Amino acid sequence: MKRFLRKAAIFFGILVATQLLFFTFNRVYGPTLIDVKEHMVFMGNSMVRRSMNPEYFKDSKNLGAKGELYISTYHKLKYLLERFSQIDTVVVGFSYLELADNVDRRFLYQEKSGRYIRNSLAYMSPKVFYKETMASGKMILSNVYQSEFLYPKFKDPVFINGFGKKTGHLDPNELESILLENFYTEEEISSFATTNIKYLHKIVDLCLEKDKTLVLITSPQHPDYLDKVPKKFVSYHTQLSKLFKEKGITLINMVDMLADSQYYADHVHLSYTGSIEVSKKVKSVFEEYKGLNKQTEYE
Amino acid sequence: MLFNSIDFALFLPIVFGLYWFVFHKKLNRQNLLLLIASYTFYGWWDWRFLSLIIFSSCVDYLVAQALGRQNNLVKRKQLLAISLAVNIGFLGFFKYYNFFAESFASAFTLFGQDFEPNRLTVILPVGISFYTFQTMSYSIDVYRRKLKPEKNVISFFSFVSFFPQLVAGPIERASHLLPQFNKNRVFEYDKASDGLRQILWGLTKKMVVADQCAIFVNEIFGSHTEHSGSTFLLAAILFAVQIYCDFSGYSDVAIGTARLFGFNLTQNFAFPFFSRDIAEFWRRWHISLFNWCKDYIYIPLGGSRKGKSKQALFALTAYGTLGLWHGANFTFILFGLLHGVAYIFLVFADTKKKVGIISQGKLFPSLREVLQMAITFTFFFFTLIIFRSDSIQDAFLYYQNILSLDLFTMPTSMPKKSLLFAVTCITIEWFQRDKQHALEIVETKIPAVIRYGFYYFLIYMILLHGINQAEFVYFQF
Repeated sequence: MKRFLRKAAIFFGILVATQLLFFTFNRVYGPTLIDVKEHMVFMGNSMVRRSMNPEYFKDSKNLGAKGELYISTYHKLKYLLERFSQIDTVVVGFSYLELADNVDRRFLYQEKSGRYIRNSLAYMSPKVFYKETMASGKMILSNVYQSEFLYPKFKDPVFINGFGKKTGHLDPNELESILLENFYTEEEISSFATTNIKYLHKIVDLCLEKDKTLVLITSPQHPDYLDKVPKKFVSYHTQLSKLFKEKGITLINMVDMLADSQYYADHVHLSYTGSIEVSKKVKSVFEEYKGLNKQTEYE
Repeated sequence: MLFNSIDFALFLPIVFGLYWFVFHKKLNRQNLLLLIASYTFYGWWDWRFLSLIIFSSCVDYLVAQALGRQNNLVKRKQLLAISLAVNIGFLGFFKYYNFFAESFASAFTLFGQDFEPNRLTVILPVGISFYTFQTMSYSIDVYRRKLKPEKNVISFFSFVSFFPQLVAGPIERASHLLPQFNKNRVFEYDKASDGLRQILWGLTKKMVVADQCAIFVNEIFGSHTEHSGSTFLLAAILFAVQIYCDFSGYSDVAIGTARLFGFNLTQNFAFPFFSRDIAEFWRRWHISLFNWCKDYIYIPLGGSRKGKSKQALFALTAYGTLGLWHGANFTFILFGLLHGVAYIFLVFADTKKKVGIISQGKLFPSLREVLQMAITFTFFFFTLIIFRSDSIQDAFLYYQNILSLDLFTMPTSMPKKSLLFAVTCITIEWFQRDKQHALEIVETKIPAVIRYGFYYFLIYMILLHGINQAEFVYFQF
């Protein structure tokens, strides 16, 4: 037994020691994760990434990331606002599917989303990270390991001009799976998200506290999709929009702006053409309302 | 509690420490600790279902005691019937009720009668098929007088709920595992360190290979139209690798964990992808279930003793049950039956039984052996499509997708990482195919630095690429 314990202690001791070394080295010498020189940042999930073409916005950077949840957006934003004081406008996506509790279950849980989440874990301090993961009760080991110990390998997650070229031929079966994946739990309509919405409120509060202009945008969605989104999420979206408006947040709702399939890569993501249309629209709103008057809702 | 979770990483050393340092003086105390640990392990998932295990253990314990005292054949049969009714009743209620109710309703509809069955909304308790089969085998063996009833309650309850193999096997025979609870266990360095190696290999297979393959497989199986035939084919092949690494990975962790506590569990997988025909395949794949079906269904029915036609019927019954064991769906039954048909084909063709390890003592297989393995594997992954599909129609749609014009083009989506992991894993297993598991060391000449370096490498692979807390596929069975 002694021999076994001694060998096991040495084996695992070396493992822990090397990891602590990595950790310390990366914390002390690790590079800055994102370098932002612009005044305006776009943040959110793939809907933002695919709709906000940064070429149309002077002095802006699109930091949207596939599958990003508000918990990630919040920590990323906090990180940015602490380091880059020139950022004065934050544009965040605000869509129906972010309100269903399906997104909560993805947090550090589903393997697919877990990979996307990994990118934002690095923005949290170890203490916050521990708190968040413990609160969720779930942890994806590789995500923890990669973000906490090896994050210098991450590239700047900025995504520019990565808009889908696929356009036009939308598959009804795919629509069904999008709806099931995002709004249903075992064929029943899902409940409202708690964690995701909590972090949306935290994003709002953070921007208000730091006196930054926050714009919540709802990207266009295909009419077939809009017809089938459970109504309770549409109502909740309206209700939250009203609440945020009262808090002084700008909302741009373009959900039914584009009907033609050519503007879509799938029922919820825009094609290149669609992204151009939307970017033009948002640009015109920005120009029309210079300074983006607070307490305004653009539809 | 999942083997691939932080919870288990903390649970195991605590139980190990208590087992060997605090409770080691008396066997009964050690067994009691194992019982508490096993109930904690299971209750971590849902404590309410502990009542099922406890109830099932009580029934089988009492029935066995009564069987031990009873010599009247009719009464013995009645006692056995009670045990089987309770165990099969639980299985039927939680696992098969809806399936049979809906099947009856469909049958009525065929005859022009509309019949709406009452469906149950119940959760399927994790591992119910595994521990139910294990306790049933105990009652049957006591009834057949192959085994004496176990008097020690703690030993018996620990045997039923032994945490390493409770939720996904191997399905142990009482005659093999139960006596180990009544024997003083002494810590053996070689056994424990080999157990740790087996755990490491099991976790690597599960977290690195199976879960990486699952990402691609789930994506392709989830979309029926967007990919080329070759992509569908690749996903089907990777699903075979996924399910193998998932389930055999679980078995490796289970066996390795049991060895840390001084127990020996039955080998559940013996490198099945290196089988030369389907009969050999089933002697290497989920061995404990196959042997259960063989010993409690196929042989009691008559086995090969009553002529080939009857043997075929018995084989189909056994393979059909084996398929149905996996779940309440016609897809599983069809999967089992197809394997039964393949076995019958071998019986009628008078094929020589493949014994021993393929190409033993050689580095590479002969061309003939490569062909045999390729045919067996192809049959397996093709039938596995039915196993993986929600319905037989879905499976046929998938076959249709594979057999499209673009079958001979490059896959539209290439999961390079999954392929690399899968090929590496199978290659390592090929070179270790004469061992119990791929990291087993027997008179090795490999220097310790290289061996330990490889273990660290595997740990880093788990840390870098492992997907934590993804459930094992076989939990649903």
